[in-house]
Amino acid sequence: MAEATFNAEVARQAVGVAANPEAAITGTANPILEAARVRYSAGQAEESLKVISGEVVPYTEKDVNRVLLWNLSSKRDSTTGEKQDPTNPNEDQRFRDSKQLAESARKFIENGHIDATLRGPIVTFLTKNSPAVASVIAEMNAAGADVNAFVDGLMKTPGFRENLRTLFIERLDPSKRLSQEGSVNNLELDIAKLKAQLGTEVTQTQIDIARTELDTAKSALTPHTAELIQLQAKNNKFNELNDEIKSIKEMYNKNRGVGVALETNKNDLLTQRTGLDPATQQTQIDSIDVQIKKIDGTPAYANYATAKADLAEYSALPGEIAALQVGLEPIQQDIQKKDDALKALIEKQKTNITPQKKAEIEADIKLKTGLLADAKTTLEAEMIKFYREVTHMGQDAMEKHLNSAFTTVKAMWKEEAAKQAAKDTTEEGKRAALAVEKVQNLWKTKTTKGGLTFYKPDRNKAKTILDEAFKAGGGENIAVYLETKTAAELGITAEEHTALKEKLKDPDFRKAQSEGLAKQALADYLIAGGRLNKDMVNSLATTDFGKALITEARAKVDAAKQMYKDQLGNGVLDKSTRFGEYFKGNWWKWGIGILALLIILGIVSAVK
Amino acid sequence: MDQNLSAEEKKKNLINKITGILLDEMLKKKVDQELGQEIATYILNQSKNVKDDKSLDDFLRQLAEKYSIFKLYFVNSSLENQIKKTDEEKISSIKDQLSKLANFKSQ
Repeated sequence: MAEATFNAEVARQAVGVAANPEAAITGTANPILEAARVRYSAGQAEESLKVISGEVVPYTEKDVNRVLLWNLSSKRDSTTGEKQDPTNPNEDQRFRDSKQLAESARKFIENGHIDATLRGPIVTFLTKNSPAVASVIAEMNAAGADVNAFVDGLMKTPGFRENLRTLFIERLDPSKRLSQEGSVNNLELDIAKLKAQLGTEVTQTQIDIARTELDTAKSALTPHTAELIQLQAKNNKFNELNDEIKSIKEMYNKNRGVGVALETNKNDLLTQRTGLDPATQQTQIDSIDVQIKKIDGTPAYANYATAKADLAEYSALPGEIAALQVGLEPIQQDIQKKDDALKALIEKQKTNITPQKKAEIEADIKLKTGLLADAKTTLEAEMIKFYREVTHMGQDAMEKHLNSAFTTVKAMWKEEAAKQAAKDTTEEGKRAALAVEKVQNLWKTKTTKGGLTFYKPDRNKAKTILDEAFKAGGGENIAVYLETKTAAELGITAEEHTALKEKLKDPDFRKAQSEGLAKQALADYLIAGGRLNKDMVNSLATTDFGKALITEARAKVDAAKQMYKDQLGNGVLDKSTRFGEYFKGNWWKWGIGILALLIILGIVSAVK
Repeated sequence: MDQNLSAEEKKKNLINKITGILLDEMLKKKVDQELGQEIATYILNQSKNVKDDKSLDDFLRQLAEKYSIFKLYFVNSSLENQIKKTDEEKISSIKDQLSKLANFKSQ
């Protein structure tokens, strides 16, 4: 390649997406990756790494509070529809408990801090529901030991934190919603719509009431009858004058010249007449009357006077009408309003639903009300289930932790025995190894489902085998048991039994496989819910098999202590802590139980 | 890598790049959650030791050796640094020559 073609820019292009991967990152459904992606996109690469590494939970406190609110409160803002803090006392209690537990779980996951809120339910669970640990705790209580410190130690064993973190992520997923909430809302809406349909129906009673109200309004006019008549007359007169106003004005204008002059004359005559004494001046009065009569008889004057009077009345009438209406109008408006209401009701009545339709709607409302009650009950159950999931995160994580530990130790012991058995690759050796494998079904219950056969550990049957191991002689008793029982009793073929008996003559095989079977029985006993009670602890402490198991386990625990010292942090297994004290002075009081727990908790698995 | 940036800024930029690569690989399902968790923990723990350019280079080299998803970035990043260094040396050399030339003319 020519040097000129390879420069810094080309190199930058060659780096490409590898150097700028953010360009390729889009949304994801995985909550951890999604939370990491969001932080990364916001320029918080280190925070993003913390989410991926499990150092912090992927949800913010706000996310958690929101999902708790959504799933534990039925209260909503009437305008926005947003969920609000619950007001119902039960919901409020659940909301506060869940919030507290979620906060405690976060503190433990992110900082390793254990508080009473998180520990309390775990202690209760271990005491009441964990057969493997309950007796150990009971004996610790009896001996006055600090159970809380013991439980704190269990919580800090590898695996528990991760279990809790997984449950935290699953159960507080911010997208989680109550499935029944939609049904409740839809049913409430349906019922409201149906009720609205019934609500629009106009009954005869409503019409009768409206009519009565109209009559009452009308009766308020009775005391004002005279004004009403006056008003009517004035209105009529005004309308009449209004119709003729044009011709009246024409007549007025046409006769005005003559009319005004004659009117002046007439007024003068009337003035003169007023000053005369009828007793002495009757002749003059009569003369004036003749003149006035003459003026009045003049057509021009008569027309002028009539037109003038009409115009004056026309001008005065609006004021008079208005004066009358001041008192009458409110009554008339009320009458109008009542009349309109009655007419509207009569009109609406024409569109009324039929009685049959009404019955159908009522039946529908009844049905949906029942469904709503059921949906509300289911919703409440869902809320309680969510509440349980959140507040039981600690004990569920511990249960999973213990079960996982039982399974881990079983697999570990099985592998040990299988390695020894696999050394002999002859046909006989393989047959003997198969026999050992099949003998383990002795303490299992066989069930068939869908054509498949399952073997489920039975703690009572497992205890029978364990009892053999706990007798003097330990694992050797199991070997004798295998030799003396028939093939049918052991659940193997005659050929397999022959091969097994032959192989049991090999001391290494005899020891490893018989003790291996006892260990498998012990693990299955615990998996099937067998109690690690006082008798069992005594057997472990005093029998050959038990002592051997503990000696072997102690060596592994010591190695594990060293290995996990850093991981456990805060010196959980150090002798300086209270947890460490269990390995010292009080060891024989409850040490075996704890040692057995450490074995089953899989601490030893890393150094097997 | 920009030589003008402080060690802390360079470290921040590097962490940003490698987090992007890790997220990208996880989203493409080429790295599962368990391995992703291990890698993220490794980056968080080991990056604490980065104090200067040398420890930054060492950190990236060891990361690429341990987890192959960072190999391409490590190679390209080293190459880019090398090219930049060469370019800077060339520019510096030209500047020196021009300076000498200028001094020669003015004499």
